[in-house]
Amino acid sequence: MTRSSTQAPPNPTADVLDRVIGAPLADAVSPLRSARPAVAEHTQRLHDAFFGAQSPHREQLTAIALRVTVLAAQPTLVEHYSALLPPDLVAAVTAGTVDDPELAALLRHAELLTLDPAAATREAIESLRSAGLTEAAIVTASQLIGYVNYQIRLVAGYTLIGESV
Amino acid sequence: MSEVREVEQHRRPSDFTQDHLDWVPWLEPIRLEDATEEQRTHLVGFRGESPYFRLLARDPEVLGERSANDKEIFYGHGGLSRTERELAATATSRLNGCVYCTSVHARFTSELSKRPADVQKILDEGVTARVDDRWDAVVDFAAALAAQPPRADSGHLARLRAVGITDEEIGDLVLSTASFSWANRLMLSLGEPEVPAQAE
Repeated sequence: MTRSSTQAPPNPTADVLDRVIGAPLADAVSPLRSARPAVAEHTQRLHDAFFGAQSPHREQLTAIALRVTVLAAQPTLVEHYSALLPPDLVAAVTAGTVDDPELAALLRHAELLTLDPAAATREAIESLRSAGLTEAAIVTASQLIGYVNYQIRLVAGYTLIGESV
Repeated sequence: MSEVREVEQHRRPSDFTQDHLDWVPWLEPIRLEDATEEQRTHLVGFRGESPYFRLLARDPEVLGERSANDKEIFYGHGGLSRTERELAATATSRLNGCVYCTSVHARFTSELSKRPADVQKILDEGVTARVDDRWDAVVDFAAALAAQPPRADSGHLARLRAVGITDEEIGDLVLSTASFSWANRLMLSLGEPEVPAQAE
């Protein structure tokens, strides 16, 4: 079940962030992004770890990511994660009508952490355990929710800077 | 023995502070002696002692990538000063209500800037506290970008440029703010802060 990240050198055309903000903005922020190549590389590798073909919970994690981007009203990222999921799941996640109890519990947790992280409680973690999630699965989902909140700020920040240069 | 436990009421920090705090997990960390070789590579030094890092080691690949990413965001050469990267992390943590993260990064900001009173003002009054034009511009941008949903706009950008912060440095502000929009959510949801016993 180990996810192996690719060891190939980073391919600029495969950078998700550049693709999501689009070529004109990607070009505009290229000087500042290329000043921190290690960040671009690790940010992409994290995306691969969560959503790549090797990820054991790829669909579940992608559904959580979609929910977070819907809450953040970030249309380009909504489009990005929607394209990685079957249409019926996109519709259920967007409408908040997911039936699967484990995924529904994770989506509730993603909403709590995205909208009001300071309201998180030990009981919220206990309810994920009760839904059948292992400690490792909860850690991975928590990291994923954090990652998408990070990614949302990169997209917002780079879009703002790119539109003003 | 489980490391997950109740924090006694009188050991819960009552306010944002620059004092040292501990952190108690709500989910069981791994024990160092049970760590795989891959997990061990991410638990060198103080991290092996930390329940937070031993809990995150349950997903070693993500922990490793995220640690390397944060190292560049906060310690990478060139760009924005270390002080202002830490100031953005402090403002983000204060906005999100992460008492533990705020304490750590407020201490760093104070040590680097030698301005503990200004830092404490942000802790006491929140991100709307006024300090000086440059710090206010940094704090306002970080707080607006960290907001849910983000609401940083061209006015914030203009104020950063007006105090002499370059676009490359603003890029570093984006990164430190984004990084703590992530870190705060982990520290707030996987455990809670505790006032160390000797500090009572």
